[in-house]
Amino acid sequence: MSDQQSGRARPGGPDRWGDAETTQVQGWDARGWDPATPGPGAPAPGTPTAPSTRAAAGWGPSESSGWNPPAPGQGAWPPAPSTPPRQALGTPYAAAPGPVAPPAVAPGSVAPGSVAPGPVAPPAVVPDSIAPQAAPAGSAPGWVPAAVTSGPRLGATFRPLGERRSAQAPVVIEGPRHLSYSWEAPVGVDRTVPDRRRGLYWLLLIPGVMPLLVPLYNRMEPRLFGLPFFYWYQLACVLLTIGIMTAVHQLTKGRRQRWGR
Amino acid sequence: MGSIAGLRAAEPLLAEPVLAATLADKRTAGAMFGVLLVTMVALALFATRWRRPSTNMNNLEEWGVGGRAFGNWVTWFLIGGAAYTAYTVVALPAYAWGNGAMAFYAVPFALITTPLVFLVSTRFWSVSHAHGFVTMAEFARARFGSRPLALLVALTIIAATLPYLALQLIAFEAVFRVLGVDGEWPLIAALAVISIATFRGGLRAPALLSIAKDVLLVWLVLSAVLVVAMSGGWGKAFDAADLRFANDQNPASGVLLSGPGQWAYLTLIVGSALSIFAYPHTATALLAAKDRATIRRNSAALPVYCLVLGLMALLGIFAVGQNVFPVDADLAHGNPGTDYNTIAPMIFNDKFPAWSAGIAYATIAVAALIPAAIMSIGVANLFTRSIYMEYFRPRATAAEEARVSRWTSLFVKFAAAGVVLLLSPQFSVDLQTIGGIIVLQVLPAVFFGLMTGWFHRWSLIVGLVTGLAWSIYLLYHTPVLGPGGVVLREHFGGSMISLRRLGFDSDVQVYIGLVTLLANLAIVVLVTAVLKLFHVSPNLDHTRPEDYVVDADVEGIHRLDDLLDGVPQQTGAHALR
Repeated sequence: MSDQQSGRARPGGPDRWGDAETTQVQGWDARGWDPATPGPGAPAPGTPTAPSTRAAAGWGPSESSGWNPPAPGQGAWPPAPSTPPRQALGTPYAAAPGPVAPPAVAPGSVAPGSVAPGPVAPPAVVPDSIAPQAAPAGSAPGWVPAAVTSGPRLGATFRPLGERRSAQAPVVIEGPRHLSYSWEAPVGVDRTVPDRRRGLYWLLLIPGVMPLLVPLYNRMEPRLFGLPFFYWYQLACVLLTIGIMTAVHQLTKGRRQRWGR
Repeated sequence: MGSIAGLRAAEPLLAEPVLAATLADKRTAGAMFGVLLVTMVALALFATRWRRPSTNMNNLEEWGVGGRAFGNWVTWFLIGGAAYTAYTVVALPAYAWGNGAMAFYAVPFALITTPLVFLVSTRFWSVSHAHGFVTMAEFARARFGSRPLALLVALTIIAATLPYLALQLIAFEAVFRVLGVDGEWPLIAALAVISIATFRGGLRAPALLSIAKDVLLVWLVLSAVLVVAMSGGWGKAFDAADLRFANDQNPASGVLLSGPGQWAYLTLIVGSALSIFAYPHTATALLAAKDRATIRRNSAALPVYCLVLGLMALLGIFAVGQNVFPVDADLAHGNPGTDYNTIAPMIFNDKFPAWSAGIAYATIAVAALIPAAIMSIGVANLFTRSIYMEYFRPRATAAEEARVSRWTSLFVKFAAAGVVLLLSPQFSVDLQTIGGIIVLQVLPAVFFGLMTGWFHRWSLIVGLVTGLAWSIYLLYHTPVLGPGGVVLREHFGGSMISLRRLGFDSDVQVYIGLVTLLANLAIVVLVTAVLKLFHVSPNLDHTRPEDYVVDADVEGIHRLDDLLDGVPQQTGAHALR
């Protein structure tokens, strides 16, 4: 959730949220495109560099001081290195971002794949798991970041990282509202679970399997408080499950991101 | 108990002193019940203001205010309220009273859902918040790129949930029957209130009621434990129940499972646990959670409710030894009673002090209304998004979508009430038996689809339809057998099937749902393999691997506030192309 004062994502800091399990998307880190990472099409030195410090240290007002959403034409604004949904032509979903993007792109504004005057948007910083961007110069794949287009906005609710929600332009929706296939925003993978710890998930097999050993516990003795073994064994499984799952959650929740207020 | 003896001594002139004592007790219980129910009603109506920011809700700024979505505790209460329904509180003691150990399946069944919630429901949360889904049919549509599949999934889930909703209302009515209140007005009135509350408050109304219900539930648990302790403890209760079960005509009843019953128990556990991931009520409650970590923590904390389930089942067994009978029993004329839904309220009526019984009744009543509300929200969303907007009005505005959703929710609740009031309860029970099994057929698309998109959409449709057809066929040909093999009822006699009927040389009974689900999966895998071998029309997967692990702190994620608040978003969290 956004902190409307600072544009940061988490008003209360990491402690409030706890830490969720994340995965490292291959080749892709942080909350999306990181202009600090080397790659073809990285912004020229003349562009605002605050995004890079933001990506390196978590983002917030202190890191991104002075960084404003780039005006169209500056080109350094990091569009999500995303693609339109992988679509076959002629399917009902092909219409989703397609018709809107090319006319909506104002000349000079940045669209993924189009050639902008100045630093080129980095279509190549795309993880291997995502289909490559359309070739530059005209064949805009169709997704346009909200901040840099004045036309009808597609896609979910993506905004440039750090932009205040109050600056959001009113949205005009075209077409069937409920075809929700243009989620293009980057994924929060800024907290990682060390790979060796993912093996801990196998511990969850214990509480999963213990109640299923029916022939083994279908007996009366030994009794506990008068309850036959059949009954108190299953209640004991409940307590064991609570314990194991709490432990697994604590051990696999990953390192806390330092948000830095 | 003490009050009955006291009244007997004080009023020896009454022809039936027990009845007189019961009336006075009932008045106390009824008064307590009435007070609590009115409080719940007020709470439900207050829910529209609860946790709602005072400024204009449609303002996007409000998305940034912390605490709008449900954190650890509220999610725990809400999921508990959704998953542990009044039917559970009523049906479990009844089942235990009739069958003994088999009824305890609820404990391991609810227990093994929790690691699955930990691992799989977090993925569902993430992909739903990434794309703005509020139903599983939308997810299936995006994952496999198939509108017919989504339609079938939606129809199946709706068909399975409606009887489940009706059973909550039956449980609600059972309480009033024990109190001696006849008539339809309590049910209609309660549904009207809950409808208003959900209209205005979205999921907040059931969430707030869940908290209140759990407060009452704590008292119910304490009372139950005290009553059993005061009646001689569990040892005596089990010995008495053992005696009764050994002498009754039901061969499957007993304090332990019979040999064939062990497999029935095991398959029932697995099948029922998987069905939780197909029904919409738990899914809807989960989507209201604030972030993934909330779900993970909750899945570790939810097993506490399993202890309550265990206690309910044990209470039923305790009641056997205490000579509790259904409300329509007439022991003087040898009629042991047939209205088994009233066993649980009768336990409270007979064994609890009157005011404590009133609290217990209120718990059951509220525990019926909460899942009724959540299920009707789930069904309404399924209808609105996967049927109405998909096939009738694709360009509906957010306001129209919300309006259709609300009216559907209202219609669903009152239609279920109509079925309950006008048709026999057995009809609803039969439908629920069918529903619990057909809902499993959507799991390859909805549950396994969260983990892999490998299945081909055509194979899923074929598997779903085959699973449905075979399930209904098997259920239709399952009779109710009385003692000596006499056929009491020809069709829909239960959800167990003997392996012998499937061609194996064994008398082991298994859950039909699991059998048909495995057949469904086998078909899906085979057909997918064939289709992929010939590269036939590959799926169009609109989700990405990283969508399944996205967390709440990502800019651009959908907040699903319309689910929480019950009013449409200005820009529409779901208003996407």
